Amino acid sequence: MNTPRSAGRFETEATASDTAVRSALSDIRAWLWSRDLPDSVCGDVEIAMAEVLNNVVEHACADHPGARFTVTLSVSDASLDVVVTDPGKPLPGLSLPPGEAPDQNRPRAHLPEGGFGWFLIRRLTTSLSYERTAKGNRLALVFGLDSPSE
Amino acid sequence: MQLSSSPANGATLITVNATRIDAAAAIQFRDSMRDLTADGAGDIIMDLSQVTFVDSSGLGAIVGAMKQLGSGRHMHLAGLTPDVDKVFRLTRMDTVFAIHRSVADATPRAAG
Repeated sequence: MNTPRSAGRFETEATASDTAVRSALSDIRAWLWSRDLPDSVCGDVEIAMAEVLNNVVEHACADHPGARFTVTLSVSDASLDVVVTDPGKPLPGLSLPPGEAPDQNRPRAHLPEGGFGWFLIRRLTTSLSYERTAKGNRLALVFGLDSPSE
Repeated sequence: MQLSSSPANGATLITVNATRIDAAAAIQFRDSMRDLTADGAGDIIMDLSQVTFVDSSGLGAIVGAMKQLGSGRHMHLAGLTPDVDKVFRLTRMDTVFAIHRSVADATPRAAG
């Protein structure tokens, strides 16, 4: 039904910092746009990747000055596959956090100001896997392209 | 973080003159919001129409800015762009703010 999307691959690498995350997200978005992916998919990917890369900067690599992360994206008709690696410290318990929905149903003074990251990542991806390798962390994310998320 | 503030019929309109409220900007955003809202009374209307992207740090900072307001003062959000709207809806934070399509929709009408 859809015109087949030509396969393609994009890689970026940077020293972990808030500003490097901004520029990686901008490069990723521009590449997704160049692959003719719908705006809603570009948005889903940028939202999820912002959380993944912020975690790399703020948690995994916080005590590793100069650590470099890599992001590889590859697109096919069915999915966008993303791999993120960093040499920082492992996820606690060597496993993916559950990412429970934040509880907004409480008095104003007790509303959550964080804990949204893994929830958003899980909500926006169709599959997620984490591996601790000899080089550090390797997170693989799959975004299905068959049907829009919203 | 560039924020500008102006009166709007008893409320205060705060315009975010930036395209991103993200991890790199969240602390400055929160500090600027505190400076702009600490002394006033009345509701706050935040114009987000120039903001194309908010991450969870930015979302947390917006929630934090609302929590800094005294009880009885409400925060209205106006002009959410598609990806910003999506972050609010997915996290259900759209239920804790009054969300309006535009600043005009959010502004109280002048009395009389």
